[in-house]
Amino acid sequence: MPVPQNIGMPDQLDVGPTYTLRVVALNASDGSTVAGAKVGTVTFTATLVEGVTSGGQIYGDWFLVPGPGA
Amino acid sequence: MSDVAIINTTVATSPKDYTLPGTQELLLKSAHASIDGSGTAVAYLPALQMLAPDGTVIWPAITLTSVAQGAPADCSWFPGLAGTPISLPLPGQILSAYAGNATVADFTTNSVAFVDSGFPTNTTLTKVSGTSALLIVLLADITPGAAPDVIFCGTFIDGVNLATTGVQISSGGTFVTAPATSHVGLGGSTGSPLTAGAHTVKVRVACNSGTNFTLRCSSSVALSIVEYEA
Repeated sequence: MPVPQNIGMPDQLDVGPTYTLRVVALNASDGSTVAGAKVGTVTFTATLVEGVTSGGQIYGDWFLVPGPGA
Repeated sequence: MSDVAIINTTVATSPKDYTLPGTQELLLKSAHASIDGSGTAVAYLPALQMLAPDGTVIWPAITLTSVAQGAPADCSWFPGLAGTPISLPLPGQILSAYAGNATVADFTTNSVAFVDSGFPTNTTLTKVSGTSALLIVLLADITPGAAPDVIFCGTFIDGVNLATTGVQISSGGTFVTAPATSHVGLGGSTGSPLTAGAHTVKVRVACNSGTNFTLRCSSSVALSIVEYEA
């Protein structure tokens, strides 16, 4: 069974155009990127400030799904 | 403003990035990721990072506890939970220690080229960090067979002699102790740090004369290796 991890992150985080959100496995000893780790499904939930929301939008391998408030 | 989910189901080698298009701006509410650690050789910390357009990490949100090597993790990031920075080791801090186990029998040879003595029996040294250095200390008792002679002892890691000594023998049959000490991975003549993970350790011996000598590896050879942050 995967180890569940609940992790804190900044509140009211405004992420602007061309900024990147990254999921990564870091070496517990020195903070470097660990070799051999694979990242499966990633889901971000967000409030869209700018950008298209009607219908599903595809950005490379990423799929934007409008939520209930869209 | 509208709520959205941004999803990527592709399994990819860490790190996995979502770069916002040039027309998109969002308020991040939460994140979730599944990590397959089966290919990792060390403990790891799942992290969410925000990167500036030039690649600079603006902040990392890192788990409170590390995940064991080889284990998977199911990670959720929310505002309002306490986080912690990575605790980087301080220079000089000991990260791991290794001691060689003795063989059952002493080792006798007349080889003029380095040969494996069979010591230690636990040949795997697991390095925790890829930036740390090693202090290698070898003390080997030897019964020489001829004089004059020079007997060599070396601590080989992954086939490379990293701590060696040569002992001048002035009378045969006497008892001598061969000491060898070395720092590895401090740069300069000590070389670059060895990578994190498993390495193979062997003590090898040789002589000049081609006459039998005995390494007392059943009882009187001591090898210790201390890994410390450089």
